Amino acid sequence: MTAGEPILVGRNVTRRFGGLVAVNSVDFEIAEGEIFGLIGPNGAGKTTLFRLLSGVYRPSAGSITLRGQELGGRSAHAINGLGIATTHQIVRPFTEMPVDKNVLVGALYGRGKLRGRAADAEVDRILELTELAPHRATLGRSLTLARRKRLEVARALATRPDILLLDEVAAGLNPTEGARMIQLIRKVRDSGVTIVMVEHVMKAIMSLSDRIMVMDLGRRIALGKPAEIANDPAVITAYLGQQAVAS
Amino acid sequence: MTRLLSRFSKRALVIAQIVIVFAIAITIALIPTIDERSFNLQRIAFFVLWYAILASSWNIIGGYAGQISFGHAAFLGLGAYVTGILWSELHWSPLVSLPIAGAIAAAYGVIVGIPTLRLRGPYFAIATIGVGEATRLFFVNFDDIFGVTLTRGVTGLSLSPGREEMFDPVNVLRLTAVVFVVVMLATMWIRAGRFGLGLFAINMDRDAAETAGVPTARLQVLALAVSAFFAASAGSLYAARQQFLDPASMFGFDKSIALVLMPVVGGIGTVWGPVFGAILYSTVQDQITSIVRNPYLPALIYGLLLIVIVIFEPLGIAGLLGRSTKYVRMLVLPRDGEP
Repeated sequence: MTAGEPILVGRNVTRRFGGLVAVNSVDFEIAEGEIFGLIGPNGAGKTTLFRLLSGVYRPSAGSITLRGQELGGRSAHAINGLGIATTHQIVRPFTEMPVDKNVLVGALYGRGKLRGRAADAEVDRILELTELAPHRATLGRSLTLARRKRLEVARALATRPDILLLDEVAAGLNPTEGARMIQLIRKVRDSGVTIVMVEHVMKAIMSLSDRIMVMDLGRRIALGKPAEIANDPAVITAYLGQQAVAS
Repeated sequence: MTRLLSRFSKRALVIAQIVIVFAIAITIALIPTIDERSFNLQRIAFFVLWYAILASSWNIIGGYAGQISFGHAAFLGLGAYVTGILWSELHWSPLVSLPIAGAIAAAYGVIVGIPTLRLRGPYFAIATIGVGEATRLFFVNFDDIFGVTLTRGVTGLSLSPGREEMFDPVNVLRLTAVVFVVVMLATMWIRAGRFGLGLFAINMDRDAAETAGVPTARLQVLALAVSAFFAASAGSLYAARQQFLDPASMFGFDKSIALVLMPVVGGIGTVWGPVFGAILYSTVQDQITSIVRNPYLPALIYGLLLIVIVIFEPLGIAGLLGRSTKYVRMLVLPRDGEP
């Protein structure tokens, strides 16, 4: 995988909640076409950073730019329109709609702004890709967790993003389902979509990511290839404590 | 193949529903022609259509977008008073003032909707109660505030039509039938299309809709504006038929409650539910006042009805009918979750 031009750049990105600094002047550059992993212990600020990227939260300070275009202060649907789609850590299907309508919402309202038959065709294509085609008529609330997670990916993909934010899409899945998800993420990346993922499942993130950023207590403590990250003393300290490094 | 079949039957269903809408409207419009002296039937027919228009208009914001408005009488009264004032001051026919009333109410819906629709769930409902009451008080005190004689406060505004044809109850009934067709086609069209899908997405999960690219704020405000437009057109029709308006009956909280009650009893978020609710409400309302003297008894009955429905059949009368046969189900109920 050759890393392309930087597509998503964060400078000094900060988000405060009252006295708590959830994300503390974090810098990053995400290259076009890469899979960029984001890890860190609980409370590190990963999900907050994700919500800053998708426009659910606004940064308190710093800037996030997509191809040079400032994102801070734009609403979530506007950011989707610029090409960043997100999944939700706690899955949020439209519960009373069948799977295909869930995906259709993304196709109609996302950046693609598809209409009529073009939108239907896109829904069909994405349902095939995400292996949800046999369940197209099932209501969102009746899906299993693994299928809900894939529906999250499907709905986000239907908006035709350049960047897909995946928030713990492998969490809670059994090994077979997890492997299918990893396969799906690879397929999506190979279709030209840049992927930023938060994940606690180490196997998934280590095998998929081109580069990984590690956060702890709101700060970036490491950034590099998976192998480098695994041996970084700061990372080991954050995850296992001081003694683990010493011994 | 199965998709082709479902596409075909979907089209057949749409056509069947349009035919039913026209059949209802034409039948009612012909009542005065068949029997000129059927005044009581004409009055009942007017109020069935009138309540159906109101309930269906409420359903766009309350049923589709899931934003429960307890202040919709504001738009109804606004429409009635625009038509009333334009007649008494400028002698503009209701036919002309009806779209004007709708447009003014839609604009009012936008002004009110931009701040209130940011609120969620019960907070929006509470805010709309405030809007409804504030609008009523504004019209009660209108003349005092501006030092004019336009609404005539609590005494009410009387329209003296003279020989104007548009105040003939038969013509008003026919115009009401036309407005009914327009409203029904509009709600069907919204429900089936992109706009409706966006509203249902907001209804189910506003944040998820937003991240999927749905401009949630804009869509909700638009839904409220469309809803206000139709509610105000019902107000105009009322002014033309009754030729008398007072703030208590037009802007009353009981009217706002009725507008919530009908779609919920009939089947919230469905196309036909509000119509069922309107038929039930207008006939019960008509009978009850002649049988029971106590004005509070109907409210008690509706309250009980509401509790029973919410517990046993959330889709109301439409849900009950949908249990009968497959064909009825296909007509009155959308395929599960299908807008």
